[in-house]
Amino acid sequence: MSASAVIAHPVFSIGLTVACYAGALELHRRRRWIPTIVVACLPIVVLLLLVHEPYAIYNRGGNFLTWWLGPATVALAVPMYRNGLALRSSLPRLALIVFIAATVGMLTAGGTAWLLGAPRTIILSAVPKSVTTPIAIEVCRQLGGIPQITIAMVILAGVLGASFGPFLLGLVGVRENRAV
Amino acid sequence: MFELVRGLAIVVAIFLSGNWLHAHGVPIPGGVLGLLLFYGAMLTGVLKLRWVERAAALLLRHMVLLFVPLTVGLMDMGGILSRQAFAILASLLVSFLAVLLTTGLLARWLLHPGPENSEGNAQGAQ
Repeated sequence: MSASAVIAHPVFSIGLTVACYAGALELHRRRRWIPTIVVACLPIVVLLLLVHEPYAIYNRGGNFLTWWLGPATVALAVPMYRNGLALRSSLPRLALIVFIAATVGMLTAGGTAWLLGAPRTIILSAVPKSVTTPIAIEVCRQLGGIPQITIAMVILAGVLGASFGPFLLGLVGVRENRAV
Repeated sequence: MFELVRGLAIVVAIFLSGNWLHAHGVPIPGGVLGLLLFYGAMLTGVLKLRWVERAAALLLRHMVLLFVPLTVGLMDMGGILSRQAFAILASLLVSFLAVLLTTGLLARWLLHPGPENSEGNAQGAQ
């Protein structure tokens, strides 16, 4: 069997992805600052480049994993349900904050890209980046953006938020844990 | 094992219903519709949390795995990424700061500045 036939087999690419993910998790456990997603992707990209296979071949199996983002989005209802019970008293105010912040996020992300003359697909990929990743992907698809770009932005936003969020909020005097 | 399979079956069925509704004209993505349906079903007691707990925990704990194929897909986008790098990074930074400040300040004004609440846990799960 040729190398391309092996890589084109969905079972191979799924297995490869799971193995790289497992390795990345292990590394992340030892060195907290290493982002799992980046480490999991690198060996796959390197392998594809080495054997000169296009992404589309790998993605025959990859697609299967991406599909499960749908059920994973549905599963987000569980933490919502659990936290909802704890936060019920301040729910209307929290909902208002989330609504305003989400609007600000979409307008500033799309607006900045638009002002800088980015093409339509980039603007549409930027708009949903402030929400949790699986939902951002779905919204991006519906708007007609490029999910890959949205995911890159969500990852970077997550890294930014986790590294500088508390510090910046502290600068403006916000000490409310729930704000983060 | 049975519990896990049952939970996954329920979650997948809800997702497929969401997709079906979306295909028949509801202008909300299928997954998000499914999320709302699921939340409603748990609030009304139609679905019990313990039926789906393990499956949901598995999907959420290993969600990063599900993002790997899309992220690998960035390898095909070197062109557009490098051409639009400035717009993408600027949009990211501006929006990040705007959202952070809005949320922080609104939270301070609306969630009473009284005694510090140390067990807040409305995490924006990235």
